[in-house]
Amino acid sequence: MTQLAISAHGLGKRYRLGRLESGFRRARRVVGRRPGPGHLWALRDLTFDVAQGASLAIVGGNGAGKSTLLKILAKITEPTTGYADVAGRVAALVEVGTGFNPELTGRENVYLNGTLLGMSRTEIDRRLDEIVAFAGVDQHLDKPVKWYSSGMYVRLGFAVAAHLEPDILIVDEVLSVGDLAFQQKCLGRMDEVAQGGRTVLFVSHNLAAVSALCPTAMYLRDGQIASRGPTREVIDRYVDNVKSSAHVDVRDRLDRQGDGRLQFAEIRVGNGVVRTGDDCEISLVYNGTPGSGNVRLALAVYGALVEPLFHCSTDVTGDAITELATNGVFTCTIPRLPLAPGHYTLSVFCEIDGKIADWVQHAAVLEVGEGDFFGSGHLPSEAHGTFYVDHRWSSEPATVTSLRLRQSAL
Amino acid sequence: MQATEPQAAALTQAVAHAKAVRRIEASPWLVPVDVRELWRYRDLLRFFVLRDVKSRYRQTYLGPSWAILRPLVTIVVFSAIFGGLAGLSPGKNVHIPYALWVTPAVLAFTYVSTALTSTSTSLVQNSSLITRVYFPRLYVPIAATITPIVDFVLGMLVLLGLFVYFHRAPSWHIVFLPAFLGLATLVVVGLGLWLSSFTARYRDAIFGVPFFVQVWQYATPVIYPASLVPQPYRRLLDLNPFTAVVNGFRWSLLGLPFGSLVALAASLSIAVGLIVTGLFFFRYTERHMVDML
Repeated sequence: MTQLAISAHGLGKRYRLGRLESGFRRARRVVGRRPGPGHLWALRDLTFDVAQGASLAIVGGNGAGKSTLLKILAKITEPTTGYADVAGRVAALVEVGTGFNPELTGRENVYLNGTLLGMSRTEIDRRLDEIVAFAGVDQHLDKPVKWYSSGMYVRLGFAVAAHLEPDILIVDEVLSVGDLAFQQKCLGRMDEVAQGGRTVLFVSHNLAAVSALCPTAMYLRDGQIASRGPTREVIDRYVDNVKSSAHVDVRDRLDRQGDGRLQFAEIRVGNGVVRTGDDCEISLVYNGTPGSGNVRLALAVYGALVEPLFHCSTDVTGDAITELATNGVFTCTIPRLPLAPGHYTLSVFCEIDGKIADWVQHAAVLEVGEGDFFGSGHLPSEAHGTFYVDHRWSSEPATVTSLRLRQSAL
Repeated sequence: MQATEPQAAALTQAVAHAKAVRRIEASPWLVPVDVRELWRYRDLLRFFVLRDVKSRYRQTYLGPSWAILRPLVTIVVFSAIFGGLAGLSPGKNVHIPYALWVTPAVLAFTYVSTALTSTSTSLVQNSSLITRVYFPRLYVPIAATITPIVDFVLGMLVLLGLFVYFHRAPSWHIVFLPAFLGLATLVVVGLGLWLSSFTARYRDAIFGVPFFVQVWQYATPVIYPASLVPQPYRRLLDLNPFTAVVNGFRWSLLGLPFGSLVALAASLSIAVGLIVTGLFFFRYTERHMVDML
């Protein structure tokens, strides 16, 4: 019989809004009988079970409560309401190399980090060789980690966490670090952990990794469970839920970076749905009075699993934009859009004189409808890829010259 | 083996019995100290101290010689101003040069001052750790009171130098010195539990503690002998938990009379009282610490 690893009932977490008051302010407020700062429910009434040995992905937008849930399950913070029963040891991997100190040697950091993650000294002794081999830092083990390259640092951090033997492993967005090969290695290791009968909870924006690793998923929206089930279906619902209109208002997005000399206000895609093979115009409406400067613009397009597909930037086109109107529009034209029908997300970026002015990730969804890219009335099946490229086929008899040419090429 | 969703959903009750099941929920106001957990994480204290010792003087020009320089300069200044200009003497029938007499007290108070300052801000200093991983947070303020002992031991070299300079030798009572250092540590841990938890919410201690320690030094017989204080106030002085520490240091290093045992009893009971109440206050704050750091 399958047993449960986690059983949560009515879990909720409330945060205070705004900053802590000083004693003086508080006294004035109490005397003046004004209301105190408000509260925000980051999680509300979450009830769910996770079977032992299951791998569950948790997806959701920024501020949906994913990290709060993980922090509660990892005992980092307490819930305000409800409870969760947890069977066995929990290890949370919120950040690679938590508590690494630059002055300590690699070996000392492995012990410090391992102890923090709940391993005993004998356990670390036993696994030290494996950890070092996984990280590939054996020659530098007794050097302070301040001499490590950032790659070595991250590898060692992950290696310690990866060799924990918890009953429940919680992983929050740590795979976004390191090079591709190392990420593959980490994914492989997490798969091993899951196959070994341990329970894995996995939070990531990398939907490709999520679906590769976890057969089931839970979608959190506004602190509540919006959907739960097989990963493919949950991801579809999640992607559908991200606004997919032709005019997306991004003024309220708080998760942006930049100094705000200009701020993207709206993203318009052509006149509604674009069709594959059509010339596509994407307009970025901005607010602000940026004046003049050396402007770099970029527009990144991601696929359904948030994998980067292509990047349109002034760096590669060489388009010089130096004068900026107050509250203007940037327009990016993509002739003969080569994308297959489907949903894509866009990130928008603007830099003025070497400093980021505004950068909104996954700002809008680009909906591409069916069209006649090849001018032949035919489109390849979706299973054959997301991109279309111009091509031609021809045939000719194999003549002596063409064979000779082929030989000289070798 | 992967459990499929319907299977998991069917199991509404009873989390696995084979493994220890822990319930995660909002804790009550009074939370006792989890001694078993502290034992399980005991290595952490060692690694925190090791880390703090190693990174304490990083990127300083003088490095660990700061641990000698600080008490040395204090002793020179005190001897010049209070022993020289003000003409304070260690007391009747005490034939010890002022500089040597003031040193044990300066060393004790340098430790107290460093330890109190670092323990009061320890949770804030370690906030990146506390908000990312669970571990018994009690070790953070405790480690911060232990690390400055390394500085104290280095500072003892100053005393050694003075003994050589004045052609004197320490009393055999020196074997009791660790006990008095332990007493100072206990008082600092007690205060540190209160101060560090309070600092998690309000950062006043960052400004308040260095100032408050300075004032406290004048309320402790560091630069003047207790015998100089007239009777009704001398009782009050005995209630200062650091009076017994300073007296104890002078007794064990210089062989001077210990003075009142009331001070020792007061110091011990204040230390125990602060630690017991501090533990509860710390555990009370620990519940919301992460959300405030």
